[in-house]
Amino acid sequence: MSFKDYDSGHKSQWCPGCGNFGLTHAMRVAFDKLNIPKEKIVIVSGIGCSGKTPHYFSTYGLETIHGRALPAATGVRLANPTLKVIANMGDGDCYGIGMGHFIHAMRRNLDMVALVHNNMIYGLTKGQTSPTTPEGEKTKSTPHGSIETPVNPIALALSSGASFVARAFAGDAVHLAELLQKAIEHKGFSLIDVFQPCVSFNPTHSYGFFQNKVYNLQKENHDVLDFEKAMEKAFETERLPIGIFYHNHKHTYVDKLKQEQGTLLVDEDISNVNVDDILDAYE
Amino acid sequence: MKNYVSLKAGGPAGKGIFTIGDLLAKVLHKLGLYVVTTKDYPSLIKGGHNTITIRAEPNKIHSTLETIDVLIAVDRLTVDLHYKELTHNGAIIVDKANLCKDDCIFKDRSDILVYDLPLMDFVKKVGLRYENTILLGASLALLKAPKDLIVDVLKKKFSKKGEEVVNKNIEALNLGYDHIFSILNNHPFKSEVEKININEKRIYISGNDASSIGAVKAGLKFVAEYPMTPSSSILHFMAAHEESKRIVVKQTEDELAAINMLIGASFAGLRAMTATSGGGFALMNEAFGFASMAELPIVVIESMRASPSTGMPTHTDQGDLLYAIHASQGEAPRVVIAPGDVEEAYYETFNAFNIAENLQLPVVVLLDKHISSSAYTVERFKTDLKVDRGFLLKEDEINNFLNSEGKFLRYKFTEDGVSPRAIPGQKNGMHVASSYEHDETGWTSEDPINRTKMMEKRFKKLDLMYSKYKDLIKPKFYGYNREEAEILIVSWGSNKGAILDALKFLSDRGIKARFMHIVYTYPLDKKTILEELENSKNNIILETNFTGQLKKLIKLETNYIIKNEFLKYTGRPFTPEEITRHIGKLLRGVNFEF
Repeated sequence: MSFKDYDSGHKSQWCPGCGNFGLTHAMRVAFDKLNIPKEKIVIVSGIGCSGKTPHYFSTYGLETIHGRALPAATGVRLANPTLKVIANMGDGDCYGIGMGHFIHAMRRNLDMVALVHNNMIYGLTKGQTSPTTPEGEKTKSTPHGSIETPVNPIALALSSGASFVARAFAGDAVHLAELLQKAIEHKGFSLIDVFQPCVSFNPTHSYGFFQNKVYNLQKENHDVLDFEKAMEKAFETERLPIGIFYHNHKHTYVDKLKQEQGTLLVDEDISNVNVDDILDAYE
Repeated sequence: MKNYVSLKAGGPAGKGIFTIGDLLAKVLHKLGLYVVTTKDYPSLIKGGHNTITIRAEPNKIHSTLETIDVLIAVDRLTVDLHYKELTHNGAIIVDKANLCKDDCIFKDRSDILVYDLPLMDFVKKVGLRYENTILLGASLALLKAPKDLIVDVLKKKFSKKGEEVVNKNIEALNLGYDHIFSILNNHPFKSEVEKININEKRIYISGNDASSIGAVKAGLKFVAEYPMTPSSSILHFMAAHEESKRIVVKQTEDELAAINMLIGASFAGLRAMTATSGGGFALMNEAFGFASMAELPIVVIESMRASPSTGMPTHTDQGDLLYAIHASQGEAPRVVIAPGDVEEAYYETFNAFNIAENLQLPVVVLLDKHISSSAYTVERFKTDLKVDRGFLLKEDEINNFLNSEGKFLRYKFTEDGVSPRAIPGQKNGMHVASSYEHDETGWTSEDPINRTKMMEKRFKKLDLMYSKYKDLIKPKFYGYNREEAEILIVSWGSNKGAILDALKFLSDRGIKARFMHIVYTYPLDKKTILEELENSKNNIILETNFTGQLKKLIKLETNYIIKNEFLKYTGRPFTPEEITRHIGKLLRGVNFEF
């Protein structure tokens, strides 16, 4: 197997230079390093440029509707805990229209990876403000500058119970691939918020912008079990930390469900379910 | 009359009126009588006015009546609101000292018998918790129901709560029972009940429970639901059985999450269902269309309530028929089934899963508050039903459906439009299920020829309703045959019960009526419906909505305009008496008396 085996072979519809090339490459490398069979991977997405992600993989994929990647991924995860579920979303998809699901998925500690293509702009609709657009920034829908406080995904994830919280930069695909491997191996909810430059509609947040500001937490001896320190790092803006903010272990949602233990639900014979015991109570 | 009785218990919410009613009904059911129970209540936790009406007869019945023989009043409001519903020489059971300062004498109804129950005195002896059981005992003593059977029902109901609770209940039962029984010698009551031996097995069940059991029987493995009246008891039912039947039951953050979780679970190969009401269904619309587009089978139970918006949450209505048929942007094939009683709720919910998987699309089971919360004695449901998963492949079959590049043809163009389906975990079945228009492999496509073929393919699947499922979608007919009947009643959903009972009332009054009950509302069995309508001497449609939605649908689909309509939009179900009066006036110009 090679990382190329995870490629569907379809020609990309993303802009040349898009951060998604590094991102999808990193995904393939991570799958390959972990040697996951293609049929065991489900890539779920919502709508937006990130929504197209499943189509570039030779795995199973579910391209849902705007904002709903996480509940759909939850359905897959609960149906079959042996699958690896990766939800790909944009910042609008996950932190805007899908924000409610984001918080609830994390507090359930579902074993899945949320990979957020965060370019701080609405790209596919050609340049409107997003939930992570910094205050003051001008976009097509905020020509006088955004007047809202941006969402802080890392702090939100920490406070909502995610057990693996990380940030990456699409310009450093090697690092992202490493993070992805760890996130996939982690038993519980993993968020990787990826700074992913939009070369067409967000000139401010370019590769150069991020390259000058990011630093790797793991190279500065950050203690990933220190929740308070992770929270502090989540609010840094002068330098932008990437890497793992927080990584802890706790029971996943599926671990706590008695009906999920034993035979996989998808393998159970449903041809003649007994309901006589239920009906007896109504006699 | 022996074994014919109607009772109503009334009081403020939080007083356990439904507990009295449900226990009363269960005792009458256990006696071998057919029982129907309907509930009327506002959307609040304490206060307001709740009533439960119970009708029991030796032969099969399908509705409760406008009149009652016994009124059990926990407050004065119940007496004032409902004494006029009592039949001649009907009885009120009431704590006179506390609720009838005027001695409960009704100037306009001197025939009414008032049975005084010193409820508050008895409560002081056994405790307020057992107030309901005192009333239960009093009501059943009035009907001379055998006490040992009541004790059995109480034991079964409370055994989990321990011996002390059981004993206390029996003590309370005795207080109420013995008191009323002792009065009966001097003040006899017209109705009584006795045990009847029956040969068949019967159950007493509500629509929501019947639907739930149908779903479990169908192999349901995944439920995601956000609580909404009147569907919530389906969530409770499923949660209670989640471990014994191995069903993942998820209360979600909202209805958007619920239906999208179903889509994920369905994609991964589980039979998945949600239950909601109109408001929740509104939130599900976009994903409902997605399920249709991605051809993922799901089942949505939509229990209608008086709408739009919050409307009247605890009251019944049939305002969502056209909505259920059209919900989603664009044109998204689906099947909409509207069960009319608890038996249909069970069998049709079961069928919904087979249809969903065979046609690979979303199926709506349209209930309403009336059918959801009313309970009926019926023959015990049959369980020898066949699960049919359609074109769901086994792993070794997948290689038969790969294109020249080795890609799985999940959306392969086939004769009947149904494509092979593989699920994650299966080798070589990899594909993307997409909300976007796609080609046979699932890859995004905006090509006009592909689009045309895909639209045709998705809608072609509905033809299976006219072939494979042609017997299932046929309307059901009751009453007189076409030649004899002077009028054809057309209706759907929970109106069925009142209409079935009205057919008898009409017949007793010399009117021969026939009833066409439509369960499969989309797609409609146009041919049978049109033929029946064209060959009827006269016809009328009955619906509990304002705009006559089935009438419109039939016109749209068959171009036939039904001649008369009787629409009710009070939030309450039809009564058999009002149907009889309406048709009597229409055909004879007379106002039938009851």
